[in-house]
Amino acid sequence: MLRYILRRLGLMVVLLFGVSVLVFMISHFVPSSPEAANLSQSALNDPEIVAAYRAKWGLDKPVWEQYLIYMKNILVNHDLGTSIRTGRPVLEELQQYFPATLELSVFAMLIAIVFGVAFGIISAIFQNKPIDQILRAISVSGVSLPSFWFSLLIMNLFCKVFAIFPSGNRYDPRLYDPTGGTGLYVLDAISWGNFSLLGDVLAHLFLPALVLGFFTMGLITRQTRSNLLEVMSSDYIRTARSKGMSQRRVVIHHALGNALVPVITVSGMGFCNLLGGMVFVEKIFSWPGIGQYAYLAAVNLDFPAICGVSLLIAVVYVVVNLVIDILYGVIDPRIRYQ
Amino acid sequence: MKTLRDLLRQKNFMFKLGIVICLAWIVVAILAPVLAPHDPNLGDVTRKFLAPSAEHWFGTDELGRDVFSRVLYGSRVSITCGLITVLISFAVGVFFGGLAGYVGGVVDDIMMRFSEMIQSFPPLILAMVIAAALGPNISNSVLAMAIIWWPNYARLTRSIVISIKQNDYVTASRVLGATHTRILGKELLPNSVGSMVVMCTLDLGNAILMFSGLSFLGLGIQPPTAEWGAMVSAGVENSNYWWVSTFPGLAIFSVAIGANFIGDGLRDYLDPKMRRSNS
Amino acid sequence: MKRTLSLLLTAAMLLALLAGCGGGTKGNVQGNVQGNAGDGETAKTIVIGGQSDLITLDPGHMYEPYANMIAYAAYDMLYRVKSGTLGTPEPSVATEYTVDETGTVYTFKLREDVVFASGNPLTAKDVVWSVNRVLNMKESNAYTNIKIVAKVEAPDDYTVVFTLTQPDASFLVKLTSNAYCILDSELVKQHGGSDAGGDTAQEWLDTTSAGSGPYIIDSWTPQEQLVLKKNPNYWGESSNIDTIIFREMTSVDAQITALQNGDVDIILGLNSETAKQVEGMENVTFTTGETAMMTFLVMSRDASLSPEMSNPLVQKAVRLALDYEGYLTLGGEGCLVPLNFVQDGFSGGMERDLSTQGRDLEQAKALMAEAGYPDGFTVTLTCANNNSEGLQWTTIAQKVAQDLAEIGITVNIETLETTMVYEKMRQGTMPFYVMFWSPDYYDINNQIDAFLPGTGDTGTAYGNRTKWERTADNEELWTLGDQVKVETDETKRAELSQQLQELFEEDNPFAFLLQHPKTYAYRTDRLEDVTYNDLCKIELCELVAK
Repeated sequence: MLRYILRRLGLMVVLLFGVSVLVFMISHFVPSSPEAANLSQSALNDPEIVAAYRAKWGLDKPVWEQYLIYMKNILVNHDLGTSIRTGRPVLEELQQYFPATLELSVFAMLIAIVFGVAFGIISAIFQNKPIDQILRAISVSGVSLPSFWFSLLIMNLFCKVFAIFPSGNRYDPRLYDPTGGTGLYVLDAISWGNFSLLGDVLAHLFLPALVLGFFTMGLITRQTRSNLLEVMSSDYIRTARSKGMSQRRVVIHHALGNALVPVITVSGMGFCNLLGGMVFVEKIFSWPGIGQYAYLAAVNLDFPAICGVSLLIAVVYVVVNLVIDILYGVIDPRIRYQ
Repeated sequence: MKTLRDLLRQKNFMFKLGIVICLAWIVVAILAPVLAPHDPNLGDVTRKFLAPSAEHWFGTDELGRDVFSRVLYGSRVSITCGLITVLISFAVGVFFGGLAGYVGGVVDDIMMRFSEMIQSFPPLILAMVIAAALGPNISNSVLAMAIIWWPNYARLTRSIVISIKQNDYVTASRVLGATHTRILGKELLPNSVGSMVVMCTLDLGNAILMFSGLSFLGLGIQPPTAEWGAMVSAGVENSNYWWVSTFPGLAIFSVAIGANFIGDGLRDYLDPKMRRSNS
Repeated sequence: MKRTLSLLLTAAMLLALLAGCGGGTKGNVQGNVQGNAGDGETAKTIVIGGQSDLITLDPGHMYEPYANMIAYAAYDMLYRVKSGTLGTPEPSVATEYTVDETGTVYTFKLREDVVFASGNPLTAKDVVWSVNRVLNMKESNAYTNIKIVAKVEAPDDYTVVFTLTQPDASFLVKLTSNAYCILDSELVKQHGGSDAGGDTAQEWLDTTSAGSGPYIIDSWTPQEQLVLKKNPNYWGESSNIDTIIFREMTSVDAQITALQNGDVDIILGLNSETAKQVEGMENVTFTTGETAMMTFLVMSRDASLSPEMSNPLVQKAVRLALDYEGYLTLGGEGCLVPLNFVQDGFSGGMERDLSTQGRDLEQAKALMAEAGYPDGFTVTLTCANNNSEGLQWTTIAQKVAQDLAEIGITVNIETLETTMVYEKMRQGTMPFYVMFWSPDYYDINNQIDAFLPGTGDTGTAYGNRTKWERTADNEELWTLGDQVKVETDETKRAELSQQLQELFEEDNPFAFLLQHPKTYAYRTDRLEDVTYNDLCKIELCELVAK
């Protein structure tokens, strides 16, 4: 097992290297130029300014040379480069935006897993009863709602029409200044014992996390339900049932463990899906996170930022997947590692 | 063999609803020119943002075009693109995933690392960069989607193949001296085809969602062609005219939910264990 | 047990991931519990919601639409513009100026009571240093506005002499932009500032300010918020607002709800349609301000791109086929149709008279026939995923396609990311595209540079990119343009400008559609009247809290 993990860690490095090459290639083959994206119209017209700009950012060198410089900076100086769009170090910017996204996605995942598993279990136990039908309808809606449209709908409903939730951003700047901590405001508020801030932060967090988690929740509900049904119809559960165990005992003690194995995979897929939905949700809820940063980087062809974001998300993805694979093995010992 | 009649005779209400919704949309897509009361691309700016009325059932948009007609026409683009995307990614994904899962070892590693590499990009950003690099039009955004989509199928196929491989009957046939192709053809494929079809149907909904998302960002389709995602994005800036974005949004939702109902129903039906517990 | 071990490993990996992101952020843990609603009643905070897209706060690098809003709050220039008087700068740090008979040497007298927020006195050497700093940052966007300066000197502590490379009637207007912000040279030098090239102070200037304006930049989190605090050492008259927070809000809906709930006091992202949502809201009012932003169509003269579209007769026919009233409806209240390249508000700027110069399909069709295309042709119209003050270009493009279909031109729309459209524009590879223009400084000279055909380096943005060359046929246009550029008598300048526009109208490769208004809303229970000026949007130091 330990050797397996080490091997996976080695592969992770290979993967990240591949990601960096791929993203570097793609972003440099786009038929556009960063100077067009980042200089004003008058400045662009001035050959002197354009040449100075290209020289400053190394754009006048061949692509492979740019890549070597880039990799050397990462490995030797732990420097992801400087964002062409903002002129700030990419690493610093990622550190600024990532906590917002992490907080949002962790809460979204929390909502998704808690409700998803619970709904799935209830559905399976009350199979084909009205409550099962309702929960299934909800879960299917979850995976069928276009997140950009759903965000819009929820925001208009709860922030504008009913006005019960604050609309967008992470906190009320008139009342609080939560800067200076880890950037994970929920944790910060708890560690400072500032519970009114905690309330404010959670109120801002709720709607976007709900919208973001809704899709994954649907996915998990569905998977939990069908796995549970499948496991419950398998022979050993039948045996347990026939021995006189109650339905609930069977579900909790025997069926759930086996049924949750594929759920973990789905959660992993859902988590990565979350990172995609982030672009829309963050845009509509004015959430200052990685999704918006990535979007701006992509439209402005900010190569260092695109590479930085991609590497960051690749790291998250790889780690999450590794964790899932390991969990998979832990829960289902039938899968062996060589 | 299970027949279609068998399938439809099921008591699953949602499945039937899904069939009805999807058939309805397919009919709409084919008959859009007959059904639409107005030209979807021609508008009169002096009649912009009219609320739903007898003349314009779903109101008019920012250029005074009939939203109802545009929603009808939008079904053509969405459904076609969803289907093509799923087909391409299915074919590619099943091939690579099945191969990786079955052969295992180094091949498995290479395939999976490669698919992981693609998958570990932020999907939308990757799709955006690809679609932008190739030039924004329908076929390029479909291609971009297929590129980021197939690993889902590959991973699923692989996991199915691996779990089947661990099953006793495959081990048994191995012991009995069955060849690789024989095992693949006789045991693995029939056993996994059901779940793959289910996954495909379910993902048709996802593909339509993703395509509309790309269009929402301005990468899917060129105006003035009516497309649901692009229509929603036109409504974002004008949310006081709720009808501009609400109806196309509902259209996306309904197609996706239809596909999901069918997928769920199919799974319940195709899965023998599930059927046993249903009866 | 192996299982436990691997679980522990998993947990450790997750923790490492968490620590990786959290560990790096600045760790001043003490100053965080600011859970107070201002310091009692005296402290007044105003929150502005909008989408600034600010990418730097260094006045030597800024060029974004909201750059001057911040520059005007934190810094001073020799001359400033006030709301409503964009074309006529008023003395600020300088009290007066003289210009010699060649029109190239400007001498400014400085006030002697100006101090920086740091307490350092502001003297002529700071002005010279600040100008030289930008002059040596050629890769900067701000450089465009400052390159007219050949050299700058300080004969004594309170006199500054600028020598220009050529006479420029718009120099005083240029002087009011962020490129000419006066920095606290002593302070900036300590943080990597240099007036001789190799300046590295941008990173520091992104976190704070080093100026003499009424506010100090307190903190900035890009894409999140910018906090300005009152400058206690301000040399002029202070306002009654202690803190101004600019909050990034990407969606208009979020802005409107936040205004409604009182979370913000001013929102900037409205357009004429969305403004209807705040109409009738309690304690909220909306208003429009005139901007110099124009949206127009460019039709290249390069016959290799489209032999049909490059034909001057066809281009004239396009101008006649456009339904200007329709664009006014799209743009909403406050929109104008400029005759051509000079906006309303600039010397002699003319509007299109829609009764005589508006749509005329008959004449347009006749021109098409004369050009040899009575049955029309097909052309691609490129349009970026962009908008002009909230009006999407794709909407405009679709309307253009509809209009031109009536004279037989089939328009295929191609949408691209904005950056790619800029790149293609620079290479001159698009036959027909939608573009906008917002001047860098508020003087007609900027318009002439941008739109008139020129030779070599002198013809700029659009003229040359459309292959609209300076030839013997349009020589008159060119000389007239040169006259306007140096004419200092405003009445004469306006007359010349109108002649120029009429001449321009006869033959040019553009179709000017709209000049847009800026629509914004604010809470009347928190603020006195909020006025708008297109250079710095909301002039923060003019805000008065209730």
